[in-house]
Amino acid sequence: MADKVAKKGKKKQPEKREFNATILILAVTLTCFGVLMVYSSSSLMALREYGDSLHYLKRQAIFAILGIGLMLVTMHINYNVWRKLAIPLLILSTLLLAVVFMPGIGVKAGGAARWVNFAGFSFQPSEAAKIALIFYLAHSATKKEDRIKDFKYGYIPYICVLIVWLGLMLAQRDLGGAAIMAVVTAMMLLIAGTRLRFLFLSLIAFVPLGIATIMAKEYRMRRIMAFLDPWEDPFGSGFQIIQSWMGFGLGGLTGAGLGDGEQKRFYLPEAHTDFIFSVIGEEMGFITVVLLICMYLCIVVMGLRISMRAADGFGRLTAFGISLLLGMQAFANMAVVMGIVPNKGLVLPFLSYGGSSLLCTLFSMGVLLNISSHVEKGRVQ
Amino acid sequence: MPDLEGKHIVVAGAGLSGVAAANFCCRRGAHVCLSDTRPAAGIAGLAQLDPHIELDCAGHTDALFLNADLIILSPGIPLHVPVIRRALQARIPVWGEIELASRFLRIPIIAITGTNGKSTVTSLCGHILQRCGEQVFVGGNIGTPLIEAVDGDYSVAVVELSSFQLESVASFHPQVAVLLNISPDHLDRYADMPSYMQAKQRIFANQSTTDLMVLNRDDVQVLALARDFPARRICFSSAHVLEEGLSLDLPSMLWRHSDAEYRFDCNALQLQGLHNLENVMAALAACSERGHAPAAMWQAACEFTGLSHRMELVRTLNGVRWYNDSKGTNIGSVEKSLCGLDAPVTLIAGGKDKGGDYALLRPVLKEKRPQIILLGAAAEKMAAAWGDICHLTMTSSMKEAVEYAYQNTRAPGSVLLSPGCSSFDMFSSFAERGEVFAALIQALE
Repeated sequence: MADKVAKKGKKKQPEKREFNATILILAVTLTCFGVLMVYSSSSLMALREYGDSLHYLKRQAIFAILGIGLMLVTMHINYNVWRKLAIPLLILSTLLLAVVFMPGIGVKAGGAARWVNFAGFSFQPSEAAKIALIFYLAHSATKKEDRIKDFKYGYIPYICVLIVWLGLMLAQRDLGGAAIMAVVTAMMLLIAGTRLRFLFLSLIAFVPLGIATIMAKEYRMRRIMAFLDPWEDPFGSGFQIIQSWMGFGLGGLTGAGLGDGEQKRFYLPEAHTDFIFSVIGEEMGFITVVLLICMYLCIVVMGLRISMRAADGFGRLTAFGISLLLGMQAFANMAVVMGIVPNKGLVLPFLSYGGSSLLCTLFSMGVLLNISSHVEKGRVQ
Repeated sequence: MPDLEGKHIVVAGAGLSGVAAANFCCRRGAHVCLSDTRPAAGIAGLAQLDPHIELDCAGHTDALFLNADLIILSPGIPLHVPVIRRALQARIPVWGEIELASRFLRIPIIAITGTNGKSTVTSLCGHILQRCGEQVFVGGNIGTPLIEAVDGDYSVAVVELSSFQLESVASFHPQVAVLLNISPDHLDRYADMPSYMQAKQRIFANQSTTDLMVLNRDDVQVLALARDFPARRICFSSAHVLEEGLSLDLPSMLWRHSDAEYRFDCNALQLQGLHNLENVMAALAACSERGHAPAAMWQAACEFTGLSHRMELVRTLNGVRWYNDSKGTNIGSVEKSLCGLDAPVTLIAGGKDKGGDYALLRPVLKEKRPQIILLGAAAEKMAAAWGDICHLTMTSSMKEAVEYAYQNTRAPGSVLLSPGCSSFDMFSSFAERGEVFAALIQALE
């Protein structure tokens, strides 16, 4: 579809293309489906805790409207703006990541200090920071061109930034987010042309560090153990994953019906955030689960295509980073919910309850869409 | 068998089981002190108390508890109250009355737990075994405390266990353990579902490979709870026809062993409703360990008419059927009772709030659309949870509720008292609540 449009556009206006409609439609569809599932998975809890079954629905609906609006605006902003803002955004988001630790502003939830209170809403800086990091890496790596192969210029600065960031994220007890950002950074540098041996070197350095990080915190070890054998502690650390499995099992092929899930009622903690995919599995069934996985895959594949056809290096790297980030977050969350990888406290983009995540995901889709509307200069169609 | 002679035993909580346990220990030569936080005048069963037993109403003091050799805990007191925690830290054994009884009992125990239906299954097991010629003790959470079975002449004990009673067992070892179902209940006492489920699971803890578990195949939570225990298992299911175990193939009940298959006609049962068919299957499976002929057990089950205050048809007046389900003290049981009735239904609900989630009833309410009459302390909370689905009326007494139901229920409808709450705000027990309700109906013209 994008090809056809591109060909048609070539004759009149070679540097401009239509937006990638598939991504736009999928993003809006997933967001709306997310609002529906947030309502289904949270209504009983909301009634219990706030006396208002619509509590989470209302908030998620507001964020969905704001987020879709943000995406529609962003897709019309030339993505080179982000290139100019890359350094200021990086500094700002680093500060925000640090502000989380300031008493009175930072908020703790579920043992993790990841939120900042702002005008009545709590905001999770790490979500926005991930995109800021992608902008910075894309900008900086493009600027350096061939010097990216140089250890001193093309490698050391990124490692320094990354170490500061991972430190901040780990201090917020966000190991999952830190791991994903490390992989996204490494992959972006690889695409940008860093020598493979630098990355290999860092891998050797980071793996023992990662293991030490996991061993250092008792709750991380517990999560790993629970992952290896949830039945070891079925009422403690294994409870959530066992109940999540039961959800998928109870749902079968076609699901128990929207709103009719049992697991969300008392058994599945964090049903509307981290474990919403299990509620979907129970209520909508395996077929919907497969369909959703295909939708995410489709966005990622489209995003990578946009990256390959982007008008310049910044666009190429940014589109790559955004697609990879989305794909990895979605995969990591689904894998956690299905018990394939240990629980790392990650949300499912588009679907999980949470304003910061939804706004940032839709913003990144807006940027991706804008990149899709520019054709590579001098590219022969 | 432990020797209680000369031991200093503190019995905490002067309820029915507390008084029975105190008397028992006293008979075995122990120095017993019965402790309760209520003043002596407020305790009902004191007349039955052995005069050698000291009564302490000082409110569970450290001085008393930490100097005991053994503490017998009433199911009404959680293990996590501070004085009990301190006693456990001081390595003083803390047993429930069930644990105490099981250490002295020399007869097989059939133990029954679950969120709903356990009283019906317990009584039904008792009835079946008695008809098959056994000397059965029936008790536990319903009626007679298990400790009374020790000095009686019985061949088997059928005992209903609540999650509270299961909290304080250690070596309790039933030959047959029945887990009927799990749904949210008593969340005023348990911090969350896992701890409630963990208490229920203790019923299997000491079973060996020669013992039997009877499990509801349709409840994944039940199967998960029983997963890692070694005892043999018989499953029952109302949703699937099982290769082995008991299941429904309506109008028949199917019982398949490895080598035999029995088929019974469900229409012969007096008990009605799907949940009761599940109860019958559970009871038959539980009794099967005693080696009686399946046909004889079925015959006995058919005679069983059910329990009072449990979906009891009190009266049919001008084509309206009045049901007393005063024992329906949680939302799960209200749901089951409502499911068994055809519209139009008038539901009388309310009582002392137990911290359950009334929104759980919404699917059934949407289907049955009953008009609801509310009373008691939980009325406000129920109104908030159901107000948008059903027509609600607030009343201040059972009399007012019955009169309103009488005037506003058309034939061929039903009026159902199924409170979904405990009775302790307006009545002394669910039985009193049911009796008041029944008396009011009998008085209607």
